[in-house]
Amino acid sequence: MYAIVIGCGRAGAEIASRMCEQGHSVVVIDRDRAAFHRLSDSFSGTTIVGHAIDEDCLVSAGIERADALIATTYGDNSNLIAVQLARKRFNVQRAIARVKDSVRASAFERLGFETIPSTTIVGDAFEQALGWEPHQPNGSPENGS
Amino acid sequence: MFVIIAGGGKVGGQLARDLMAERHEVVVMESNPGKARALQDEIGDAVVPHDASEGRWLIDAGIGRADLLIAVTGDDEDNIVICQLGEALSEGRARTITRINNPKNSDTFRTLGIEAIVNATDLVMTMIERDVSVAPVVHLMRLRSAGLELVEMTVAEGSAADGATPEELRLPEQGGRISVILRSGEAVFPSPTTRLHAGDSIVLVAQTEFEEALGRQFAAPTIV
Repeated sequence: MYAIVIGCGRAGAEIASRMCEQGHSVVVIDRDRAAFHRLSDSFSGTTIVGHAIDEDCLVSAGIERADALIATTYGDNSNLIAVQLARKRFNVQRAIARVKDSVRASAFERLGFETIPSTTIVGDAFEQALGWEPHQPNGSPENGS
Repeated sequence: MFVIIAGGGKVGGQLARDLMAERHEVVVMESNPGKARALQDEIGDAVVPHDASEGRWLIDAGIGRADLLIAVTGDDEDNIVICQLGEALSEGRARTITRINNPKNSDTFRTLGIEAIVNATDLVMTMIERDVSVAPVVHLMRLRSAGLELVEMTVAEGSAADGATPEELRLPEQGGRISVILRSGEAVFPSPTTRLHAGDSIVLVAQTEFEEALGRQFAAPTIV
């Protein structure tokens, strides 16, 4: 698989390194060159300094032949835009956004975009660790005044 | 109308004041505490001091019953996601309009088929067609979003438009549409065959690139 990982924070570096270990080709994009130090020794892919929604940057990262795009920046909105670009503009098969805001995550899931709702996942994990019943998310507003 | 404005900077603040003066119900969302406080001092409870792209706050602000969501933060990505989130959370009920700060992004979003541009056009058309009060529309179009200009002009005596119809002036082919004619203090919604007269005030929605050429047909255009 040829994958583009956007954002080289802890999560981005982790998934990029893991993908390399699995034998996939990976390009990591981050605005800050210093972020690439987080990549593990097992990382064998390439790195590009650039912005998540800059089409030129995505093209130079090879998005036109990418099988997957993983958006892991700290900005939910950047991730959501990157995923939409990947899917709609470049026909990337799998495009997944890390989204911290659980309401935003479920709204975009309903719009047909894949998200990793990280806050919900961590909340669920804590709940599970405590042996509690799973939480029922409530992401839709009440209509009417 | 109940309007949520995302972004309480210069544009958002001014929009809020204008819309409130027109007796619309307004909520402004601004995540910067300093800006939010300054705006609170002026317009009080109508300020929600939080990020509009944070779902729970957008719900809290009343997106479920909003007629219009205007995203005018300084960040294009935020603006687009706020509009999409607003549409999703209101189940398509709230109309959205956004400002695109960087023209480079405008192309990106257009190719994406993100509906901001279409919505802006729809919004202007519907508001003009439905609302007798033209004033808020004029204010909205200060946003210059979507490559549209809202222009008010007076038909000058002897101009190409004097005595002509929109059809004869071939306005649609030139990227323009007369939304309303203000004649002797009354609003006339024109058909393609409504004849214009010198002294008529017209409100024209025009694509920015064609605005100048269109203006020449009426002479002495004034950009609102």
